Amino acid sequence: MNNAIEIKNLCKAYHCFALKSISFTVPQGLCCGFIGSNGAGKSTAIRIMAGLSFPDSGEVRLLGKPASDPSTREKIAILFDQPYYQADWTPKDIEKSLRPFYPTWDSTLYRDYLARFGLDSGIAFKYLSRGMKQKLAMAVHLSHQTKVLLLDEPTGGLDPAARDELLDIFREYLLLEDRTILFSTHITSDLERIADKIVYIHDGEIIYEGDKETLISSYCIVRGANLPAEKREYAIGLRQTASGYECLMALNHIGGLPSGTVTENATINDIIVFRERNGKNA
Amino acid sequence: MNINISLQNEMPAYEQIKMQIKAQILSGKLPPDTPLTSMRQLARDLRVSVITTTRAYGDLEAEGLIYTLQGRGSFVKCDPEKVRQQYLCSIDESLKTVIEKGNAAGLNLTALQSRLEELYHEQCH
Repeated sequence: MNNAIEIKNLCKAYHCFALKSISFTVPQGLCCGFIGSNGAGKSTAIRIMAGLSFPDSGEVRLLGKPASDPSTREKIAILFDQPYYQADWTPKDIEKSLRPFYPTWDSTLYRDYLARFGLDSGIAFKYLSRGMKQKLAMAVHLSHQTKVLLLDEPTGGLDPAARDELLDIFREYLLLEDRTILFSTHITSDLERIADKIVYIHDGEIIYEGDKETLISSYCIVRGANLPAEKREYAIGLRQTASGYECLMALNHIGGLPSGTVTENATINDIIVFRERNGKNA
Repeated sequence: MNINISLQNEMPAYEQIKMQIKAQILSGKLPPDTPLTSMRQLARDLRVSVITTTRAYGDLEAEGLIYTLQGRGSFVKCDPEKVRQQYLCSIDESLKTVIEKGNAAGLNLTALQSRLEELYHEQCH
């Protein structure tokens, strides 16, 4: 399988934050979740991929070509937590201003999507709800030949129903196998049912890259009365209270815990929460 | 093709999809050469990742229950021998239970055989 996104030794230093030579790939046709806490470097990496800022060093290849290659630009779309269009523009105005930049723009398709998403082509952007704004941006992205969709917290601030609708639009996008999504979010429940792969970034470094199932199935949550001293080093994000302890533990270390200890499956969310807590305790 | 999966189930999603398609093929509900919903469509419909459905279809193909034509999708495979094998396995399972229960009730092999013969003649004639 070809890689739609290839990041190699990417470095970018800001005043008090740096991407420390990150590398990862996303195979074509898949949805890759990009997770990490606020300030971990997700948006910085996405901005570089989208060509909105430049790396200090390293390489970004999209669809087999350097990210700066003009021939791929039309095939890359980016969706933030809110689209940026002129407040007074209507969906019709937006089409007029964007169409010249996209040789593959399909006006019929755009109108169909507006109708399907319940968007009036004559209403000013500023009067749209947050969910409708996101749907409008997706109508724009779906109306030309995008092959890579970069999502940066696209569901932030949306109510559960609007989030669900947007996720369905992403799923529909993936019906064609030459399309790829990189989905950055800290609402990790969004990823549980769509992501194939997970890239986990922590403090500017990639700490996990691989199958989502492998990530989830390699950890579990452990609760018990007393954590045996020899297991202490394996406990991630340990929280001790008068009534017992709770921590995350790699599945291969849970053998030999005393009886009465409870274990349960971890979600992506649990893994992040416990790992981040661990960083603070240490 | 009708599939219902539960994410609260202990069994992984791909396994649930695989088992349900398998059951429908073996029961004849999905006859040979029936086209299956495409992997991407199924992923979208069930709201699971593409890798999940790809894995389920891959396993079914490895077990000889479906075949895939490049660019055209996956279809139910006509493989009577495979189906027969599956039935034989399930018969063995049932017979083991019969033997266990027979032991518990104090029936020996001859007694079990005669009961089987009796039932067989009743059902098949």
